[in-house]
Amino acid sequence: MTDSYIAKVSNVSKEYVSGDTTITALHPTSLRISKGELVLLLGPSGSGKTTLLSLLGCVIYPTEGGVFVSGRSITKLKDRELSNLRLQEIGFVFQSYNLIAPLTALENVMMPLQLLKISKKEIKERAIAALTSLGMADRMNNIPKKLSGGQQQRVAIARALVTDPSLILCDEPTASLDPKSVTYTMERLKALTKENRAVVIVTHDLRLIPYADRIYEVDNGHVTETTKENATH
Amino acid sequence: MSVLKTAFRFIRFDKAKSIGVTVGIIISTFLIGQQLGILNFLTGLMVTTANNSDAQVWVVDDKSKDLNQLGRLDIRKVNEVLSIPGVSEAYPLVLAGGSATYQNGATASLLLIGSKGPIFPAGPKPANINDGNVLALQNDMAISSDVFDTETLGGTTDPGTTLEINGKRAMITVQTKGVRGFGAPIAYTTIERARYYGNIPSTQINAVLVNCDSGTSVAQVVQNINGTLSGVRAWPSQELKDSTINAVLASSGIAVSTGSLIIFALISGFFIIGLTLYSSALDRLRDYGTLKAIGASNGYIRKLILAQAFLFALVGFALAYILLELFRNGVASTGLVFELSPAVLAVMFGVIVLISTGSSAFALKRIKNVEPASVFR
Repeated sequence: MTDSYIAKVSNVSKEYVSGDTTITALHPTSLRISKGELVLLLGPSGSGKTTLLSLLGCVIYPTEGGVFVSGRSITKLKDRELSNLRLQEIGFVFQSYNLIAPLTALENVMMPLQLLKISKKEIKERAIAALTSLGMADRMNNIPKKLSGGQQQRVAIARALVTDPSLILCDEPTASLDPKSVTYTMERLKALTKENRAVVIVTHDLRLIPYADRIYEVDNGHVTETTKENATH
Repeated sequence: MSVLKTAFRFIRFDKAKSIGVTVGIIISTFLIGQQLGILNFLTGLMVTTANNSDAQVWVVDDKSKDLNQLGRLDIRKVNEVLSIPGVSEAYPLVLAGGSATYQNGATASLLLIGSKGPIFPAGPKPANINDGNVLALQNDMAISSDVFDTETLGGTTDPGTTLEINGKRAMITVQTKGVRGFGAPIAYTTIERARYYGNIPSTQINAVLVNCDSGTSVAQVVQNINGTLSGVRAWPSQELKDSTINAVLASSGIAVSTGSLIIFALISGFFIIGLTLYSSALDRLRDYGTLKAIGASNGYIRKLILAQAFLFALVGFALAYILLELFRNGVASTGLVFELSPAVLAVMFGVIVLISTGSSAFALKRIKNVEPASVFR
C-alpha cells in the first residue's frame, strides 16, 4: 500500500556505536512525506536532521522502526535493491553539489540514466532537456570546476530530476548560493511539488521558510512539527 | 556514455596519478619484455648448431641431450643410418674446438662446425651470409667468421683475413651475420678441415644429419633408427633443440636469473600500479560515494575501476611495446638479436592486464567500504 505518501518513517531511531559509546542521532520519530509538498527539516548542526534525510534517502538503515519509500520497506531490501530504489525513486541535491569532477555537466546528468540502462539516444535527449530547462544549455560541456556555484547547483538539480523521481531530497541546497540563486533554486524546487513530487530540504537557512508546506524542527535527535511563525522565531 | 568512456574521463582528469600508473606499467612491461628478449637470444645461441641446419633428424650418441655436449660416433654410423628405411640423406658432422690467434696477437676460442661441401648441410644458410659465397668454404684453409664476433676475433672478420687455429694457418673466406655460438664464436668449414684443425681422428664424427624420404614422416624415421641402431639416439631437430635448451637452462642458472628478474618486475609493477590506483581512488572517494548515493551498485563501481585498470594496461603496454621495439632495433646492431613472437606478446599483455586489474583490488576494497551516506557529511 503506497497510500498518499511517498515516504514514511515509523517510530524510527538511529544509533551509532563507536567503541563502548553509543550515540543516539535520532530518537524514535514518525513522519510522512506526501505528494505535492515541500518539507523543511530545520535544526542546528549535529541535531540529527541529516541522519533523518539519510534514512529517507535509503542510504542508511534504521536501528529501530521502519522506513518506507514508495510503499517499500527499506529494511527488507538488500544493497543492490536499495541502489535501484534510490536510482528510480529518489533525486539527491547535495550541499556541495557533489558533481562527478571528471565528467562534464551533460555527462553528470546522463549518469543516473546510464545506470538505468536505457537507450543512448534517450539518455542524451533527456539529459539535454533537463539542463536546458534549467538554463544550462550553453554550459553543458563544461566540467564542474569551470562552473560557478549557482551553475553547479543547477546541474545538480538537473541530475536529481532527470530520472523523474517522486522524492527529491536536498541537503542545504542554498548554503553556498547568492540571494538571486537562492530564489531561483527555491522556485524551481517549489515548482516540482506542482508535478506531484515531494521535496524535502534540510537547512538552517530561515529564508526558505516561506516556500515550505510543512516544517519539522530537529533538535538533539528529537523531531517536532512546527509552524512557519514558530520556526521563524 | 559507456563505462569505458567514464573510466577514460577519470583517468584523464587525474593526470599526475595516471602518468604514475602508466609509468609503472611501462617499467614492468619493458623489464619483462627485455628479459624475455635476452632469454630468447640466449636460447637461440644454445641451439645455433641446429638452427643453421636444415636436417630433419639428428643422430647423436645415446647419452647426449645437449647439442653443445655431443659425444663421438664412429663414422660407419653414417652408412648404417643411410640403410634405414625412410632415410633419403645422411651427412656426417664434426664439431671441433680450437684456439685461434689473429694477426694482431689476439686469441679466442672457436667452435669449428665441419660438414660436407659443397652442400654444407650443417650450414651456413645463404640467408646468414654477409660477405662471400658458401662455396668459398671449399678453398684451402677456408673457414667462416661472424661479423658480430669481430671485436672478439682480432678486430676483423672480413674475407681474406688470415689467422692460426691450434697453430695451423687458416683464412676467413665467408663472413656470416648473426650466426653466434653459446660460449665460443662459430666457424663453418669442411668436415676434413674441422678434423685437421681440431685434431679429430678421421674415423670419428659427432652427429649424423638426416633428411627423410618425402613419403615418410620424421617420427617414423626416428622410430626406425632408434629401433634398429645401437649406441645412438635419433632426435627430431626441434626435440633436440628443446632438450638442449632445457639442459642448459637447468645447469646454467640462466632460468633462475631471468625468472627472478621477471618476478621482481611483476611484483614491483603490481605494487606501483596498485598503490597509485589506490591513491587515485582516495582522491575520488567523494565521486564514488556520490555515484553510490545516486544509485550506482557496487558492481558498477567495480566495473568502473576495472575499466580504468584495463585502459592503463592497454596504454602502458602499447608505449612499452614501442620502447621494446626501439631497444630491440638498437641492440640488434651489436648482434643481440631477439624476437618477441605474437604469442609471447599476447601472454605479456595478458599478464600486464592481470597485474593491473589485480592490483586494483586495493582501490576496490577501499571504495567498496565507502558508505553512500558519506556524501551527506
